[in-house]
Amino acid sequence: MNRSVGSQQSVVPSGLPVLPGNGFKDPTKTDFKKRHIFDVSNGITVTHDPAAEAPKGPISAVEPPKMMPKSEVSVAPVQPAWVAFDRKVLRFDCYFKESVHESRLENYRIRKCVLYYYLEDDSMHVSEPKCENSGIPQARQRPARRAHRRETSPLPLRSLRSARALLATRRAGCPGCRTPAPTVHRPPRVCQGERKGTVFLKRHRVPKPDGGFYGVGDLTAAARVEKGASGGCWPTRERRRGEREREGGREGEAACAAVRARGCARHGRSERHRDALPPPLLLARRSASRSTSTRA
Amino acid sequence: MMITDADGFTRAFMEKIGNPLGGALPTPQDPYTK
Repeated sequence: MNRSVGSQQSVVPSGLPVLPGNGFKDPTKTDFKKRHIFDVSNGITVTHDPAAEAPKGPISAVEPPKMMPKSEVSVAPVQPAWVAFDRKVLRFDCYFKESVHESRLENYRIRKCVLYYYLEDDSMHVSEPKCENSGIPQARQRPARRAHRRETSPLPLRSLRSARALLATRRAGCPGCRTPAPTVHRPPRVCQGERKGTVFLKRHRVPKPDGGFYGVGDLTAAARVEKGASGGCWPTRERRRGEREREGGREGEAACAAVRARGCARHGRSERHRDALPPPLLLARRSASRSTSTRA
Repeated sequence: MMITDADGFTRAFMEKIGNPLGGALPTPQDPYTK
């Protein structure tokens, strides 16, 4: 079917696309007059647009457009996470224990926070609601930015499985440090474990389970911890060594008995001084070493 | 950081993905704040 294109009504042969260069003039054409488009009829301007006129030929001569057959293979629509989880945020209520070193009136504070986990990009941020007249600086918002595991990879949701365990089993406690959930007194470790996943907690187990007071038997180990500057964690090796010395040596027993008999406030049942160095052991050891050196 | 509770949407979502949450844990109160 030939088509006429352009202002000069060039004819494009059938089979060729309607592109410039494919049109050819009819050499047999002798009438080159243009059609009359604008006219005035009874004082009113009218137009006679040939393109707007109805085709003169039969309607069936117009070829219907051909549609491509629909493929039979059904593809399940998969939405990306940023579309499927758009504006969907998980909210967890949480708290952490803040140690207070600058005041004698209090040892720690319980600060309640809200943890928001954004599903669209696996990021989170922790917000602390404002507490009126709390006196705590920056009480409105704690780190209001999204925390990532590393610089590029965000924290996955599976890292919060410990939270599920904490919620499900109250007595079993945290699966990483095996600390009973209601009496966790080591917020930095638990906090870092929550952020970096359970691998961190498995790596850094806190053998001191209840975070309570040190017993009399732990005084030797506490002295060694203080002497060795072991970074605050309660080392199992030092504890075992202290137990061995306590069982076998008279020095430890004497020191522990002295502490027990004295009952001073420093080594009493005070949580503030639980990390304090028990001096009687060191004094006893120093005196023992001096006596041995003088004898020698 | 101890997680103690979650809202309804979070609980439903965690249950849907196979990690149902248990009951809420009580938040301890420090004895120094009145």
